[in-house]
Amino acid sequence: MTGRILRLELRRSTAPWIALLIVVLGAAMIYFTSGRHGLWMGLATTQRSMLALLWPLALGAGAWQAARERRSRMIELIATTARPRWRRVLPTATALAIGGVLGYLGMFTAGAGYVLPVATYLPAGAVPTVLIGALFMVIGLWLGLAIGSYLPSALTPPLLVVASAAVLVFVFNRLIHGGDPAGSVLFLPVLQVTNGFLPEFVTLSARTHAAQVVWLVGLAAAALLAFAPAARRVRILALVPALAGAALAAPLQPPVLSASFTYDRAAVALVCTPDRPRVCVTRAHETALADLRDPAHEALRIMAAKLPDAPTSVVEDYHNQVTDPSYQPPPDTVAIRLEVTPSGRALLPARVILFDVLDGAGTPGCYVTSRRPTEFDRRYYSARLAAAAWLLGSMPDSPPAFDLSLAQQAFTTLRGLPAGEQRARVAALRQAELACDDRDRLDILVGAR
Amino acid sequence: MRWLVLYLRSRSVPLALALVAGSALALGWLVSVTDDARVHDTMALLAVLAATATAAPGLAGADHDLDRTAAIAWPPRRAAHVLLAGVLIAGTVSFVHNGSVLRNVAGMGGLVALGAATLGASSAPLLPISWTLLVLPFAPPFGTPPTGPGYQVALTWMVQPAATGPATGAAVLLGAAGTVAYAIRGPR
Repeated sequence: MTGRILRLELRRSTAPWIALLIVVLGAAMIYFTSGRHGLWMGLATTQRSMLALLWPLALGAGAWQAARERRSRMIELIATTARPRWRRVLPTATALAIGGVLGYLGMFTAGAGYVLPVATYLPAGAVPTVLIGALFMVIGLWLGLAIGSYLPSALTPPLLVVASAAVLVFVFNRLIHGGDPAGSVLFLPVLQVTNGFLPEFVTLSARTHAAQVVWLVGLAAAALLAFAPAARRVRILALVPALAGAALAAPLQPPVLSASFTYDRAAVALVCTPDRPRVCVTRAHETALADLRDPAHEALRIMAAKLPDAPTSVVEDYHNQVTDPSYQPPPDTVAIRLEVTPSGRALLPARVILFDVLDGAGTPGCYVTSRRPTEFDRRYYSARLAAAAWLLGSMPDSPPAFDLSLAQQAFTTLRGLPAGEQRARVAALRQAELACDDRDRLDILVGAR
Repeated sequence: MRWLVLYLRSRSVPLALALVAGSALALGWLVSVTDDARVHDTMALLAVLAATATAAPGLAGADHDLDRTAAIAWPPRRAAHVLLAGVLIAGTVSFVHNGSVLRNVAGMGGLVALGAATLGASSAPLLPISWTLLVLPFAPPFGTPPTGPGYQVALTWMVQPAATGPATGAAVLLGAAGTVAYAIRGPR
């Protein structure tokens, strides 16, 4: 009997409409905005951040469903039936929940259309991220049912949608302009990979998942208690599971939002070329290995010919530039950053990658540029670029972020020195960069002895 | 005059007016607590959306078939209803914040009228709401509106800055089409 009622509700209530709306709008949002980076984990986190715009729709759909009897003018007729209210409305709530979950999973499947052909690594951490997002959708529908049963007017669904969208816009604004927000923002259906992390390298910590599950289960019980019982006095009890969920989840929350992300060890594991010299990329960027291999081999060959104790391998640096910028690889390894397109191939052409590997004679930088480069930064990066140009024999043709004149001057001056002196100067620059001391690099390269 | 009063009461216009004023007040409060000026336009857009959504249920009476049997000319009255509602909303919201409010009211009002003619008055706001939510990823703070090909600007007309040609054209077209469709057909 309940199965038949559930099937009827699945066909006749708002459930199929909300599922369709979520799939269509969600897929359009994923494909038409720039949220197509980061492979599977990027898709999961992008979908969670799109939830900020789809969750209001779930609220409105729930409120619309709650006013169904008023719209068809059947309140008095239904009131004469003998079934208690909770047995009457639970199939409706279940049908809405099924519709919401199917819609959210359908949105993920639609977005997987561009990830499936190019992804090489399926992270286990994407599964709980998607499932908790689906749970958020169910909560939105049930909360909408609860609010709609208290305010069964025709104005409630649209005003609920717009009001919750305004609140989430306001919170999202604080989220991305306030640096690193507090972890309690995870109580809301917003998620953003912040603070320098790249989605393909990270996963949400188990603590974060646990905190959100506890909060959402409490909220789900509260929504059902506010909607299903007939007696108004019983509905006040809905506050209990909501407050209990918040109290239990609060100590589990990470202190700041970026603390909820950790490196996915399997995604940052290195995948290397079988032949020597060794060129490695992270597992998540495996498709870009072919693009890195040739410029890396050429750079290593050039450095072996012109430098004493030249590096012998190239690896990709995945470390977060904001939280741990001082990662130093061993002296015989060059660590570079590799930017990839949404389809997984390297973003920059081979000649630019070549310059990246040769930058500073094969060393990672010791300083991170600020927004407005100071004079010290200009001299520092010009010296590194001049060393790379000396190794390659010419200056780069595409202009980088800063003015090339200082580097061009240094390059010309360096070439004017005797040949042995040139090699010694570049080797000295490499030693200074490996030791990360604070001598002026341009002085080392072209200054007076 | 008596007809007008009865008409306004039957379409619950006083409640709608109060809610329009309320959404303008909420917009004023949100604008005052947000310091990023680009987000103000997005909030004004949401306020206009809320206001036109409150006007939507008033586009149909309690019994549409009974209204149709009346021996009066409905099309000019329906058109006047939509136009006056638009003017009132535009006036109230631009009191608080002026960021292409007139264009947004014209486009949203037209969409709501179109929705009333096709989907029915109580589900009419679905049309502007789903289009706006679809386009919101291009509005600050989520992103920036496209300046690219004309059709992209026209499709994201509500989040474009003021005095953008294709956006204004799209809004005017929607306003005109919606008003005409609703005036001729009436609510579903």
